Amino acid sequence: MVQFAIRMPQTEGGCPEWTMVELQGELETRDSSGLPGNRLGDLHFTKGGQPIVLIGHHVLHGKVVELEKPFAVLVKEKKKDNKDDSTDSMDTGDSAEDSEKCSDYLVKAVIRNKLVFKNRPRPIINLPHKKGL
Amino acid sequence: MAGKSRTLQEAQAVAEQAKLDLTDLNSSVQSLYLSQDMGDHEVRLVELDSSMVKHLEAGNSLMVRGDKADMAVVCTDDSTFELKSTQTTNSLLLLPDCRAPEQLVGGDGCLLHKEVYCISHLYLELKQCRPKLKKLQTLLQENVFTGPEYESDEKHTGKKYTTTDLLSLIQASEKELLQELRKLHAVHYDGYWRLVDFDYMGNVLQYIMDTVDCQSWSYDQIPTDKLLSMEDNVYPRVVLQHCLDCYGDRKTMELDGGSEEVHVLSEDKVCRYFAEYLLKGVGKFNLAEFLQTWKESVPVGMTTDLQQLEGVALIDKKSHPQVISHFPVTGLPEDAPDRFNRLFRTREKWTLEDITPYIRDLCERKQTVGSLLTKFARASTLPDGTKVYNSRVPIK
Repeated sequence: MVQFAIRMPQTEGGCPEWTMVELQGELETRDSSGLPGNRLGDLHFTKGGQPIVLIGHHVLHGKVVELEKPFAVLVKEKKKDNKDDSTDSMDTGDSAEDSEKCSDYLVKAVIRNKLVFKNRPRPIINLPHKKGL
Repeated sequence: MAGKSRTLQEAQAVAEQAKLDLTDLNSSVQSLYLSQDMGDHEVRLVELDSSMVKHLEAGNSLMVRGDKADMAVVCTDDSTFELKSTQTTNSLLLLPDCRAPEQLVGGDGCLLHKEVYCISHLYLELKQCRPKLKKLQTLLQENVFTGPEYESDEKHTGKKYTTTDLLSLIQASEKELLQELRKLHAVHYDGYWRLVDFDYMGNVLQYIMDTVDCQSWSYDQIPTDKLLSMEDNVYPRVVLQHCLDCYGDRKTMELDGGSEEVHVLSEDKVCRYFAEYLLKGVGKFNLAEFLQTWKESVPVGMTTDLQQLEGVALIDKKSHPQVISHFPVTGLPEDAPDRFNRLFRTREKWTLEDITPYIRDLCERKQTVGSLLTKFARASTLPDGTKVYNSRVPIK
């Protein structure tokens, strides 16, 4: 059996709180540059606290949702001896001998809120005279 | 990187083009960028409940225990949860540093640069479940305790397990493991958990009762320490204490010298032992003969009752003469479909009264015996009006 722990490193200031943004479907880039490094879009909030996101040609209206069950963001703890620990123990079906110890998972952050964008995107229509976007 | 030198004015221009009412918007804007090394950021998202988060914040761990063939489970100190992977078509973007509306500075506002750590389509959910304890019996049967004198003989070379050993092999929380060990009457001997041989346990019990009779004590008030400290005790203190705890209950008595710890022997548990002694290895026992023999075998003053044999023995009322046989629930499979299959293989139709002691332990957190039967059995009525349950599926 495989056994490992999920731990929260005890740091001053406590565990960081992150936010989740939930969008429908997948994000794609128009060119072949791939996603990393690119600007995604702008996040605005109305005075009433409602989030609005502008991505590409789309306007998405959403809402802030407090999660009933918080998410923990886990990362694998790096093994000190640099052994190749390529088996992902979170996927079961490991061919492990009795009680094999593998890396612990550390809680990098907790997510208690998410910005959910469920509305169908409203496309932004470009008016020709605006420049410098 | 594209657009790093973006200004607030540029962002506001886009917002205007999108026909957003700038007067209704907070003056600050967060510009979201996908981090350059997003591909290296491998994370797992797990849904936890608030008590687990508090548990982790206090510096405690959650243990993940995965068996080769099964799902992995997550254990707190006292509960076990199945870990289930869920996929979503939605994109879940994780932002380490997003500001909530109330955290945005007022006035003229500013453009804030925020990075998306990674995007996920997968998360793990936890669902409370019964711990998987059947393996415990298999492990402990490798070396059953039959008395200190035999510990070094050839029948006792099997592996022995400590609590830590067991926790690394069994998918259960510590509390659930200890509860099951108590249920199995396992003794913690020399740091190891051991199942106690049935006959040996009977000898220890008989010795305790003989000692009580000899000393003119009462079964309802056995002075624990006096008994355990007797000089010529034939059995080790740990074993005597264990037997007292298995077949009696602890009680504090207020007496005229102060208070004293005593054990109250449980009539039900003692009678059950004697019944099992008679039924083990016999197969079927003529019910009438059994009842008589049983009555005569228990200590004077104790009364036998078939209720005491719930989950231990089965009575076949239809056979002539009626018979009783040993049928302990602890010997049955722990997986619900397998359990029901075995029960229906043993007997085609069951009344609610007869089947309940054999399925009660299968109930998950919010299940009842009734809902289990709805799921795994089919109800029907016999000509005489009795309601019975039989299998829903062909019996293997």
